[in-house]
Amino acid sequence: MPYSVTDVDLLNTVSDRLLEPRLVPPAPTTTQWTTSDFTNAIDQAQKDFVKQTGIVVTQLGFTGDANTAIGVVPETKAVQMPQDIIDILRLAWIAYDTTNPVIISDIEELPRESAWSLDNGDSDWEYDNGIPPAGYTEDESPVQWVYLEHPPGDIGKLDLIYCAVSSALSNTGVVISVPDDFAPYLIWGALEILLKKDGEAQDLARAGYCHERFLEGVIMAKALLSLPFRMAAEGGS
Amino acid sequence: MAYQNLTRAQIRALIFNRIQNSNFWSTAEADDALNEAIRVWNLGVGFWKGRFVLTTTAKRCIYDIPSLVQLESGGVTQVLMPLRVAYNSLPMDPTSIFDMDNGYPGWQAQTTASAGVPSTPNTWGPIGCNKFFIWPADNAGNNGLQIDAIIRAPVLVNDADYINIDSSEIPSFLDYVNHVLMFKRGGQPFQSTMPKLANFLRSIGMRNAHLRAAGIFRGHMGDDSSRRQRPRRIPEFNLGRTTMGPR
Repeated sequence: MPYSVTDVDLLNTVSDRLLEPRLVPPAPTTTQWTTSDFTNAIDQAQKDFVKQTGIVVTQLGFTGDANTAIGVVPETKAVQMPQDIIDILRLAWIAYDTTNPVIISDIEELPRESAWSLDNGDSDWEYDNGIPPAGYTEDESPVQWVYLEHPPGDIGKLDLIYCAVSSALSNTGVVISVPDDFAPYLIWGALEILLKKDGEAQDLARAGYCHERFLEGVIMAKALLSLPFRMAAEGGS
Repeated sequence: MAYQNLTRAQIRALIFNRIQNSNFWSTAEADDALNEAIRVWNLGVGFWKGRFVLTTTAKRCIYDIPSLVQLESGGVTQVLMPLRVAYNSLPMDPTSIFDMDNGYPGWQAQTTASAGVPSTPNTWGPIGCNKFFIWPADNAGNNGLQIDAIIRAPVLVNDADYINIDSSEIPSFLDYVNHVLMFKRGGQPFQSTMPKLANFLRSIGMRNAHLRAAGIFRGHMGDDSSRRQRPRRIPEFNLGRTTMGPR
């Protein structure tokens, strides 16, 4: 179990801050919110946080001692991405040699291209096969699919590092998908959603405050992600 | 030896001394708010750090931090963000996966046995905060990777638990807890505690120039709006650089 804060922990704190009692499972007792309002809010806050920060990444590919890469059909430009994908962070081509059994001979990152630049600068990019592909584009592909620039003429796979949809939070003790230290910001994100609800629960002033606190967490996360480089560049933080 | 100045019970007593109607808040609420202060402080300052020793796996170039038992304590991953990695005590250079892709194409398939690459891993880089890579991969494995990292904040679970920090920082923690507890009351009582949030964030900003340059922090810290319009030493757009490098 990588992290320890659970959805119930979040719900208890959210309940406290909205003057609702802590229950097991947590459930509001006033008419302002329903239990599903609470669980949906923490779930949405976590998904939003992961999407905005990329703090936790997922890999389908080659780690050196294991290979879970995405298969590619030769001479086909369209490749389907996994069901839980939010955003591609890095896509790389895994090339194999001609031995039997095949072994990986090279892995090279594929640059993200715009479809317009491909059409105008490399007009046969859809048909002229290449090893490796020269890049990929998402501009005009269906949702969850990418098009490879110069589709591969031979076997190969794709190594994908991506931002994935986090595990669904409810009120059953599911562990959050981000490090525990970011739990306070999931709470602020959930409170923002709950305080923006139409009706007697609405409190836009406090919702605005919660929004700023959530953004504070996003900045904290991005600052943390760049910390090793800044320490190297500046000789310390 | 860790600091042993104040226990959770002692800090909670200080918290309730600060708020007049203590019956309005439960002890659990105060404890949660205190642990939130500790977590936010750690994120902003990177205060708590630790060293872990990991054994390399043969040919592995990308390591998944939450799945590494050697980085756990009590079944929970302790590493929040690696800061420094050494291979058999030799420090490695940090870089981004973007720089590796552009500077060393094909790096992911290379090991220390490959031709034309260093004979020991000498480069590492984080990928998000839950993975890191080394280059070249250790072909034989079973060597040592020393990881110095920011660790997860040590939350206080029991009343007798000590907070591992010098007591001079406690007042700013109390400010934050007071502010967070007042959220439940809303309105003017909550609004009146905004300077306390500013105090707490200022104490973080004193140790983190990068956050101090971010507009949202400057607003919370009480900077006036005209100063907020001018960039400080670190432009805000640099905050967007992640472990993946520029996109």
